[in-house]
Amino acid sequence: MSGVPYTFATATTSIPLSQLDVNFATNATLGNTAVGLGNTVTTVGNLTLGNVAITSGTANVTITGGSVANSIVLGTTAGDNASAGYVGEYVDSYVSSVTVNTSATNLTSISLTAGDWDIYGNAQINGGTVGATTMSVGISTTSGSFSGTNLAKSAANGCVLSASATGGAVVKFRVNITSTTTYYLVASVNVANAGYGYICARRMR
Amino acid sequence: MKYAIVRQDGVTEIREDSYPLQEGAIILNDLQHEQLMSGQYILQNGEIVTNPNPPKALT
Repeated sequence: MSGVPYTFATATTSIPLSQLDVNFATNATLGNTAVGLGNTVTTVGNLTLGNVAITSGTANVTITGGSVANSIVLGTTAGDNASAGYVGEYVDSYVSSVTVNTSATNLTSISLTAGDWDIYGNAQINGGTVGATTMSVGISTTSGSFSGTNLAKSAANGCVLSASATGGAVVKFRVNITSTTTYYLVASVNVANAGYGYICARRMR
Repeated sequence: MKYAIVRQDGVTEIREDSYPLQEGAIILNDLQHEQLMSGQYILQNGEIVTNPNPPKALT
């Protein structure tokens, strides 16, 4: 077949299947824009699509300078993880039985690549025979220190005290970084003892 | 990917992310990951064993 002799936008009757080919040798016309179908790639302009389903292959859509209005993004039910660099990417680290001292002690850390992340964490420190009564926990860009970028946002002194242990959480806060950065979960306690900590982050955009 | 890495100070970190797997990382299945994240177990010589010093309940 050598081309499609129909202009779709001006067709007044159904286009017979005999005039369609899986691989169009010649561009068809949709509206007022020429478009290649089959294995021809070209540009489509001013085109409104309704009820579009892509049932095979991979669709890569790039929107430059525009926006998607009223979009509803379907979440995954597969129990899998977002790939590195994609919205939803998750990074976490857990550590147990680290000796936490009276000075700021690293429990664990995570490394985040450039992006806009929400980050949070928590820590627990066992009480010993003497018993730990006060502790601090925070997230810092500086190893072994309650200082560094974003620490002020990490509410470093939340504590839950009990007879056997103390625990504290760093509430969620945002970090917006342009290069790979390490975030340390840092804690201290008035009586050195075993500590347990968890730090995690989710890429928001 | 869920995995464990043993730090230079001997402490084991239990991690989950989508980064390329680090050298020396031990891949964990869901059950192993859940056990280790509970704090009731630790990784010792490549085996999951009971943590002799688990986190105490906040009573």
